[in-house]
Amino acid sequence: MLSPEQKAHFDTFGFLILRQAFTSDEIDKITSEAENLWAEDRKKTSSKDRQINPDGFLERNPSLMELLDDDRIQETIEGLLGPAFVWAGSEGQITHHHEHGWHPDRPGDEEEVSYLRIKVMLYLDPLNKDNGCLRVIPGSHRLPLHTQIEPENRHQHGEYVKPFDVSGPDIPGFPFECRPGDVIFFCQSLWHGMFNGKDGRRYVALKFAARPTMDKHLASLRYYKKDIFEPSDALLKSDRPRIRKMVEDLPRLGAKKAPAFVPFRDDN
Amino acid sequence: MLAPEQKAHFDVFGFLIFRQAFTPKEIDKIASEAKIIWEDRRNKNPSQGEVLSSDEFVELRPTLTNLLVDDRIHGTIAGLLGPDFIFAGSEGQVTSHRYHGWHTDRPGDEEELSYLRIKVMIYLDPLDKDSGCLRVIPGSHQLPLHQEIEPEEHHQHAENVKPFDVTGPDMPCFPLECRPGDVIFFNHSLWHGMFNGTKGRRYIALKFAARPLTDKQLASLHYYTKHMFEPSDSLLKSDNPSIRRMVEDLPRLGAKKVPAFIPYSDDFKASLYHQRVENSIN
Repeated sequence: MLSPEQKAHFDTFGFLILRQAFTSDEIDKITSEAENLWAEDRKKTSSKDRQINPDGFLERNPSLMELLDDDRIQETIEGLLGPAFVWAGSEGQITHHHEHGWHPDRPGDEEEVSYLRIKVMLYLDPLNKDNGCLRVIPGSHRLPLHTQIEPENRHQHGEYVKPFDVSGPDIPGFPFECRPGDVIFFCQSLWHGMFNGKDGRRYVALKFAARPTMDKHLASLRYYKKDIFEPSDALLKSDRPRIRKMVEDLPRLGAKKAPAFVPFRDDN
Repeated sequence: MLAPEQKAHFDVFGFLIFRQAFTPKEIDKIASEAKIIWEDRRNKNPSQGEVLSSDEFVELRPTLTNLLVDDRIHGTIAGLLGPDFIFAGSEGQVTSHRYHGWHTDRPGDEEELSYLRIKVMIYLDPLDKDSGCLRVIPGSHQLPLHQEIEPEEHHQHAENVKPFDVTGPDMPCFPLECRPGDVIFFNHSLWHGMFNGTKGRRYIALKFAARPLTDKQLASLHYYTKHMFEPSDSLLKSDNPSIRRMVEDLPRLGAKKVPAFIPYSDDFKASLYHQRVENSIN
């Protein structure tokens, strides 16, 4: 059950941390199941790319899928998004990137950033600012700060682009230094980044969105993640009502016509 | 000369830091001049103990007074406030406070926040987040973040007040870890705090404000820094025109009648609470 103070933290700063929400045993189990999936993926690909980045990750394993229905996640998401929310997919990554420049996943104007979408990160390795923990700029999920950080589309996305005269690692952010078992819930419009990343960092992520109430919401969901409207049978036919509830309307929503989405900026 | 990117950093995040703006030799000189003032204070009032706080500081020694017109400070302030700014006082502190809870020096609504005042910090000791460096919440000088950090005036000013379910040291922020020679410029309305302070931290601070254009701005200055309207003769009669320019109008402005200032939050009450907590710790 989310306390009003925790809700205020999320609303004000754009994220919420639950320290040691999962026990060591639980994290060991999650890690071992995730490793099994990554091992399968390694066998399937002939690519020499060490990066493993599958979408639809948790849905592939019944044990990992339990995270979708875990009270610590479900109740927190319900407290933040309200009772009617939709499932927006999962990820499981082993990453070798040394940095991921500052960005919001869902940039936008007042209307776009007010459509709340949340990413939940469970890092499976201890991380700090010197080995690649997530960094966030508190409060940057809302205007005016949200748009001020990107003056004229020149946000810090490379070593030579310094709209604030500082390099990416020196942009004033809050490092989410974490241990396995910690969970962070962050608004996808929050500016975030990662620097000094060590090889082989592992995480699993879950994504949720408020139920779309406008065509523009639907268009935005479709633009960023078209495949959320085709949830797997494992979810649609789950024997867990909370899982069914957050996916059962997605195929209908996916079939609905929506206006073209005009992205706030072209990330490419 | 302030670069547009530096100005953008200050405008967006509410602060600016110049790394190693002063050389070790310059810092040694500043520290030794400051020490003379602190020792003088200690001799005059031995009961002050380890904590030495002075509201009129750089004005007392010509070498320190020169900081006001040093281009690294004066030029930056002119770049942030425009050429027509006023001096709002200085501080020199040796402090043993272990923490200073989250607060903003100039809280307010849109109108109050738009009146720009800047504090310049020159720390004389290396500081990190485990030894009492300044922590700031970037962007909190602007609405809506500025006001939301203080829901119903219950901002985190004591260990048992946790409006965001985290303790003071765990509030999401950016620690301004620094070495002697670094200079920090921050908007007085930015939320800031200090935790894990080591004993004997030393700093010098300079305060500047945009020239007040409305009675409300003048009233705010009167409320927070009344003493600034009585600048010392060392400033009023300085042979440096830039120094005279930032103080010469202050006595006239101080004599002007202003409406009563209604503070946005009762920081005074909070500061009394702080003092009680600090006294019980020290």
